[in-house]
Amino acid sequence: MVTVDVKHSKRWNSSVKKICVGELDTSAVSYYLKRHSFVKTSLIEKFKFAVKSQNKELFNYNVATVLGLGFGLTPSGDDFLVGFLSASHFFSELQPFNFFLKNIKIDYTKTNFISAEYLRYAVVGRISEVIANTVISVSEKKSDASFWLTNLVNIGATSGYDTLLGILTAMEIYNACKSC
Amino acid sequence: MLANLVKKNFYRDSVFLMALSNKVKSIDGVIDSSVMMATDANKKLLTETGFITYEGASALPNDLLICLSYNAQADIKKIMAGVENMLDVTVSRENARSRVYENPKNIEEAVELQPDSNIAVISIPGQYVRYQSEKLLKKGVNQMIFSDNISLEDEIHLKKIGVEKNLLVLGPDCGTAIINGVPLGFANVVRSGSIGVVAASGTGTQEVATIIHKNGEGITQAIGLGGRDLKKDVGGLMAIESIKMLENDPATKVICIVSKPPASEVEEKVLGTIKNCKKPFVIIFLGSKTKRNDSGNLFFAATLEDAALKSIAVLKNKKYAPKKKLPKKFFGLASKERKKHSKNQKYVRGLFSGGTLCDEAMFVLEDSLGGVYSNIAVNPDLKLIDRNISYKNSFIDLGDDEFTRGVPHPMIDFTTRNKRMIQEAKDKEVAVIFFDMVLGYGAHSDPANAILPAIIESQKIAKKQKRHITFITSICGTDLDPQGFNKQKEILENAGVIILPSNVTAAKFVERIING
Repeated sequence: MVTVDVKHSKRWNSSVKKICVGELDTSAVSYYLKRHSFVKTSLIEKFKFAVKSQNKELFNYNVATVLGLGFGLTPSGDDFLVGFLSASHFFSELQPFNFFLKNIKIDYTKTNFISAEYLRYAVVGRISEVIANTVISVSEKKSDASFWLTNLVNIGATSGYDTLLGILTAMEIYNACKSC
Repeated sequence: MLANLVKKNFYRDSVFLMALSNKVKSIDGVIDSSVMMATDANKKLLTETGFITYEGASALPNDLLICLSYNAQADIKKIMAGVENMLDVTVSRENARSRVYENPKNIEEAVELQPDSNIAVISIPGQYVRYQSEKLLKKGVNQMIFSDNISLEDEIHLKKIGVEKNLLVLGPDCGTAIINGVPLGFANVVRSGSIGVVAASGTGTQEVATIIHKNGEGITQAIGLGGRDLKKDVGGLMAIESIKMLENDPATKVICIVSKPPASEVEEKVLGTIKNCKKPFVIIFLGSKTKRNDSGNLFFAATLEDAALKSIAVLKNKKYAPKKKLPKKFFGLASKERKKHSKNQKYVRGLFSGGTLCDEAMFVLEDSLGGVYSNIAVNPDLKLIDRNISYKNSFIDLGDDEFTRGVPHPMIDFTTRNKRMIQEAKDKEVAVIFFDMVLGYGAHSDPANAILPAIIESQKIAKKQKRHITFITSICGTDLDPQGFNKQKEILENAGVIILPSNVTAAKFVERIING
């Protein structure tokens, strides 16, 4: 029998690659977002406005609105936030994302502890492989983008889908800020 | 009746929870259910939808909250035992396996896979429609855009490309079409025939097509335009395109146009196009008070039923006299019902899932009832202050956006309408509850049984207070619809509901009961 001793193991935190391109092509992501989400378009628009305007009271209000909202063990709103937060780390060269990450406040008691754990990771930039690869492959138009997108949207009943919606929202803010 | 079950610190993955939500609904006696983690946001939502009890309200974010509504006669202990059984399953990975996805990944692949398909239905979030729609137009594919939230600019842009390429761009927000006998979106199964329908209204199309079917005729195509096509900005681009297509279609002998009154310049443009056509047109501008006389190939109708029957008459080269009043054969029944009401029972409450059907009923009754209050009233004086509270004679369009945020459309899910029906039944001044019943693809698989518990509960409430409420409906459907027209009719009739042959006749029947 082989035993693995983890006593002296180290956790390596790889830094998140910063993405800096002229404009992100959102078409591949939008193709995967066919269904309606519990996180409504109107809510997303308010969220985008708040992040773009770097109004921390407003975006934290919007964060509180979506937190814990929707079906599933990890509610749709939380999955959306995980997607958005994760993508924000990649885009944090842009000031609105940097500001957002520095000022976001989440009341973790407002959702279940499993979902809260995912959010805690996302806030500090500990991003799952599938989310990280989705953001990178889509942003850099890599040939494996559809592989990662398919994998992501097939997580859970709606979790992957809502996470991707969060990523797309971040990409749209990125494009809007780049064109300013 | 409501019940909440709180499972403390209970975790199952999302797929299990979604499946559970559907399974709970299949337990005998359960009307509706919702399974969610008891986060504050979800509890707020469930409170707004009236699904939460004291027990549910005290649940915490790590608890699983199962909310259900059930028939008063059902045994709640049995229901709860059923739910517990569903929860008590061993989680196994035995059947877990990776799924193989063979669906096309993009428009190009889809067109390659189905090179003979020449129409696509687009149902994606609004902001992405333009990109996908443009690609389809480049490939020469007609399209029905089911999505909403599309800018006017995008709609005009896409429709202009459609006009250039002789392709249909139906919508956005186009929920109903029947193309070559295939129902798209919310649509009925109707026989094929010689009447073509072009409509800027979903349930308007359904009402006209089903009445044509019920009267022995059929349709060639039912082309939905979306609500904005005949407005000034879009200028009827697709209405005109559809008219030209049907004019050139040898199977179509009569063309029926269904719309709310268009902008005057658009009306002029559309009527100008029609006058240059050889085929006869029957036109209904629903809600228009302008008197229009038939001339040349133009025939006008005032109600959806008239439009359907006049189309048949024109097709058969027969004269048609619109039924302005309620047919006499219904007088006896109306008077019998009226006698059952007390002096205090003066009002009708209309609960609709179809916006156009609600509009039509209000249009018929607005003058005779001295104004009908509504959440969709154009006249600000008649707009309900609170959409959740009816006032005097009130008609509610439960399919309006404000009622469908976060919940399915009332044609699919009867929860909101059933709750509202019971609420209206408690009002001692209510004499009549009038509702629509839409069959066909897209609609609930058994709408009569879905609304039945609310009718029974309402009747019980009235009986307890020694009152009688008259329930009136018309069924927008056909014998070919998957729900079965006769089966649905029988269920409602057995529950004492009076069924009229059309929405407009039902509205006139209501008038007869209320005004005598």
